[in-house]
Amino acid sequence: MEGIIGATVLGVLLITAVGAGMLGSTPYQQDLGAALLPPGAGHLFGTDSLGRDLWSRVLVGLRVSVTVAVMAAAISVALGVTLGMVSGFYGGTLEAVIMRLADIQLAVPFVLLTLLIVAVLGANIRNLIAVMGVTGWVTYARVSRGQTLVIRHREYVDAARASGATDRHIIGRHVLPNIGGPLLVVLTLDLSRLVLLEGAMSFLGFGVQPPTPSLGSLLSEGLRSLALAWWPVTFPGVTLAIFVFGVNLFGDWLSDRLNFRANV
Amino acid sequence: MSRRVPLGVVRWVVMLAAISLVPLQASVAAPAKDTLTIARVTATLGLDPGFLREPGTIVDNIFDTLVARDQHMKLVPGLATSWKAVNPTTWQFALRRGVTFHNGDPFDAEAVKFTVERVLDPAKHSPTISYIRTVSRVDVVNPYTVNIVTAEPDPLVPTRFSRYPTEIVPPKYVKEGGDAAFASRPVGTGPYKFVRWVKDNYVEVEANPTYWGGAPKIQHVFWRWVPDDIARVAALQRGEADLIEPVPVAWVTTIERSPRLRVDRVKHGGLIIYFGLKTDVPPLNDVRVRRALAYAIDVNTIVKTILRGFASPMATQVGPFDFGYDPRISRYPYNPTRARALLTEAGHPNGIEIEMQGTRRYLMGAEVSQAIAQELAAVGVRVKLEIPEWTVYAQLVPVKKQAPIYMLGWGSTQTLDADAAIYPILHSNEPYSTVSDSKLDRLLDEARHTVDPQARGRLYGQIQELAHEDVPMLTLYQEDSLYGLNNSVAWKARPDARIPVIDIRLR
Repeated sequence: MEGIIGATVLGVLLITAVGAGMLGSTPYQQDLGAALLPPGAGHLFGTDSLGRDLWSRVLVGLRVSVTVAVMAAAISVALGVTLGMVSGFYGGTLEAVIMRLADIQLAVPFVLLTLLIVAVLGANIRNLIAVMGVTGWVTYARVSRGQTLVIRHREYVDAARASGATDRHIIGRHVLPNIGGPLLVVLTLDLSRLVLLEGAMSFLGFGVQPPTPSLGSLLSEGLRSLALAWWPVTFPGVTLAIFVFGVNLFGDWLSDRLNFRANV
Repeated sequence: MSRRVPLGVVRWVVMLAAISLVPLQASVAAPAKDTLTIARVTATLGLDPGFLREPGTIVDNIFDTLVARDQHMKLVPGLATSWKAVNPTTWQFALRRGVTFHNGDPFDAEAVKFTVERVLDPAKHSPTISYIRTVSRVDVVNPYTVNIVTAEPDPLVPTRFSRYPTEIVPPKYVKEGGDAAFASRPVGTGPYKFVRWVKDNYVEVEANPTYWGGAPKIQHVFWRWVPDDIARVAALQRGEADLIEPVPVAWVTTIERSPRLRVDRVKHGGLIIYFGLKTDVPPLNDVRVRRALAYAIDVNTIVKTILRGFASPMATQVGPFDFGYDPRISRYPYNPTRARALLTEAGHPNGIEIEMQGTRRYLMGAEVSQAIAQELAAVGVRVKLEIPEWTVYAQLVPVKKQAPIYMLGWGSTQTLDADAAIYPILHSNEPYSTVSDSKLDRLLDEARHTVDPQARGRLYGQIQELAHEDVPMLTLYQEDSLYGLNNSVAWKARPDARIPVIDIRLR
């Protein structure tokens, strides 16, 4: 049941966000004379302090937030799965080193690291994705390593090795496909974390720069007009909450379906 | 018989112990009747009055100037009891006797000489040298008499000595500790002594009981940095701050509705906000492009909607409270068609791409920057907008590392004279100026040295007309001063933006 709800919620949100461009939306069109109009005719969610249509901005903001999260996740997955598989397969010093790196990574406070990088390289989407991607690999590494440890002792691996398969072949053809299931579960749940993280960073001004909207930066913009209007804060906030809720529902369902406990 | 403590109790004890060890957020002393807490949007980067990159609001309380300005904006004796021009290029000041610095060092003519010369020293690159560049040296006549010697006649010497950077510093203490240490642990002769500066949090000062002007009534003052608008308003509403500056425009009505609070508004009391232009960088070096930018911006609507009327559109960088203000000069009207035509005439029929920086430090700064970026884009000026953090931005500007179009606020505030309002931002080779126009330079220098007020006024009129023609910057509007106060604070806001706590009483 929860799977269907989760999937539906996500599906609807993502389709509207992706299709935002075709719904005749105007996220950047300002009209100072129409600033802070309440939800009503012509503006489903009202307008913000510069007269921009909030409905459009929330849709584009959702798209931006999800894109950032997905791209960061892609980097984390690539990095984490590689390191995880390698450490699980070869063991020994290599594994020890990689696992200690994971511990160090977890110990570094994310916000501090972002501030540092942003101060040196500048605050923009690209740098934010890079930081989020590079610091998020640990979960995937651990999952991959766990699965690799299980699989490398299976009979078909021994058989493949006996018939002269190289390590690379074994990793690529036998280990990797078996990681897929658990990885998907972890990825889905991680996505909600990433979306919230992007929201927090953009809220603080370290990610998406104006006038590009993201759910986080919309929240911070909306907060500045809170004394005069409730809608610039409420709609982005509710959208973010619904999205994260949908992702979590879907992830839980997937996890039950695949009988996998993301015990990392 | 030993009895095992139930696990539940142990958990609670551990939790309480852990909570008590967590340092509570550095909370300022609970508002007692003799403590004043002021929350401001501007950060403190340094407390050396000779090298400020921020308003002098705090240092005005720690230091004194030779000449002071009273509540009616009249110049009155400060550390000098009297002054006169003994010849066209020399002003003589008689110094007050018996004044000591907070560390006991004596105030005398040597201190004045040291103070001025360290700001004029080209090796030190003071960002505020523009205000006293007319001074060539200080002569000590005797321990209580100094001569301020200027290169050319300067009628403004007493005014120049009523504000930073001429706030008097103790020579021995500064020389021993060095400039950097002095900026973190200032010592002056003022009504308030420096206690501590918790960086990015607050500056604490306490009353100087032996102040020559009489001991202040309020004993402790906390100057807090609260850049977040909502946090600042919340601090006022919760009683954590007695005075906030400025009140965010969206919150003025809400605060006025509260019976315990009020908003003090001074029309034309704030800075004049503009977008500076790097006039030596193409395509901004073409006056037609600059004029196009001026035509493209609809300042009246921005003031009405984004600033909710808490600002006044301006044609020049001189405000109505300043000597030299010319009310006859009018703004470029909003005319995007003319803007596009000018751009085409200047050889840019397809528009231009350019970088722009805004800042949140001024009222609705981020929103205004975005609105203007959009209006410029509508005429083909595709702007890449960045809004850096103020503490970073404030360091970039005086060393010319900012974007070609950059937002800044300026004013004569404490001088109430056109010279301070425009010389530092229009004259070539000044730290905050990105303009280099020899005609303007000549007029600005001549006005500085003209003694007759009528002639001076005429010169400033000419300068403003020339600036209007040339568009060296995009002048936008002058902010109102908006102070949020608890009604227990008895004080009237000043047009010169100072907050002299010695004048404040707590009811």
